Amino acid sequence: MNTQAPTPAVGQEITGRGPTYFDNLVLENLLESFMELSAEVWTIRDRQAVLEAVLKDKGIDAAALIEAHRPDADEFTSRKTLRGEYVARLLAGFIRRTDIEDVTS
Amino acid sequence: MTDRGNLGIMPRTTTLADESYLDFLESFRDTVITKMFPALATAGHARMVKDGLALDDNAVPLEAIQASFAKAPVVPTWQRFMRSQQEMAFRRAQQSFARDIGDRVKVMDDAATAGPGRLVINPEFKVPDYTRREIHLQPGGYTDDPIGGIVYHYGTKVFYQGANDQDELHAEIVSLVTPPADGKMDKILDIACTIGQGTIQLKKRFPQAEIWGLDVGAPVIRYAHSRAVEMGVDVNFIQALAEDIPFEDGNFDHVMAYILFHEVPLEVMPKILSEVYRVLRSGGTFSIFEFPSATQNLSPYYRFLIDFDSKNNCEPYSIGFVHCDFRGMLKTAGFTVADGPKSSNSFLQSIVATKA
Repeated sequence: MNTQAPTPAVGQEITGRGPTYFDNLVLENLLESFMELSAEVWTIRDRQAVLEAVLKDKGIDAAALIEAHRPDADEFTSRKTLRGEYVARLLAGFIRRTDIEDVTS
Repeated sequence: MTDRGNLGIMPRTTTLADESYLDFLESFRDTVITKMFPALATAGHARMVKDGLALDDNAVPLEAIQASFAKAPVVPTWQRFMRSQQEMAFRRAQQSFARDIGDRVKVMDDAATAGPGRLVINPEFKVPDYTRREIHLQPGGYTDDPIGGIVYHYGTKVFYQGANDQDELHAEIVSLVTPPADGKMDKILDIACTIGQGTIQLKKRFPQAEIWGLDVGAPVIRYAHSRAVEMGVDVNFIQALAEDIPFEDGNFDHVMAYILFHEVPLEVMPKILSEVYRVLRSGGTFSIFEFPSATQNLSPYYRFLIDFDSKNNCEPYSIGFVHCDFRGMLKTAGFTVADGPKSSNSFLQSIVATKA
């Protein structure tokens, strides 16, 4: 029997196409996207909870202040950059595997 | 350096967002392992029965098990989740600590000459190619990322589903180490010690002993040493190969190996066993905690799991280990072999090998 599994070179283990498990590639990509989205949702919820706790310690009513906030141009730009990076991670699976076989090599 | 403090002895990531993201993955992994995998095992076994395959026959080919399992949609879903969560966890852990890479390397540089224990790095040391793998999908592996130690530490926090944040699993393993019959434990070697979690626990259990941790990866033992310095624990670390141990014959009373052998190619295993035999004194003991062996008549789901793990979690040598006659190799090396105390991790086998 073959007792040694093939491995890519250092630096290529999780950067390439990677293994797949379904006949339908879209399922692979949707599940990976689902995981990234889920992680991000939790990250936001966690941050929100910490933020509110921190502000409460300072006697600040965060909910009311958030609704009253008016961002400037720099803040909009910064948030747009972060949003773009988030969307890129969300869609990474679809970009990583575009065909049912790797025809590039 | 971004200092968000520690959670006990576990460093925190450089941002709350990294921590929350990795917390999510820790919970996700826990659910996928503790709830989804048993469901997968049940579904896979049901498919095998339907296909007329026996569940208690090691002679059933792995390919037949995999073909039956694959008919249950939970199987590829679980596979996708396992692979992706591991990629996501190590990628994010590496990215988090890489933000402070210069400062993190400086902390290890500053600790390198500090005590109470010693750090021995040989600049002429050649890292064998077989060790340069991104084991467990960790970018750079144990050998190629200067901050591989802290990345391993936080990545395995997720891997162990939070059950080893304070080195609890290593403490349990060390509590099961079997000293020689005469009880003398003056010198102990921990081979493949990575970041020294077991090494430090050995010092806690045997405070009078001179203790050495040995590993091929400079990044992991440099981190191990800086961690021991910070904790004030008198243990020593050396970059070396388990198949070329730089100590004299009969130097140690005890050698411990925790989950080492499934990470080395078959041809290296006898060399390691021969070296451990050489550096143990007469009557010395060798405690081994390791993946199971196929000779133990594994359930089909275990065989499915080990094969999947080997091919999808960068464990390239584990299949070879599981299917080799490891106890036979120990006997060939000269050891008397017996079962050791079992840990709460039922997956691991425990062996005590004694030098006559």
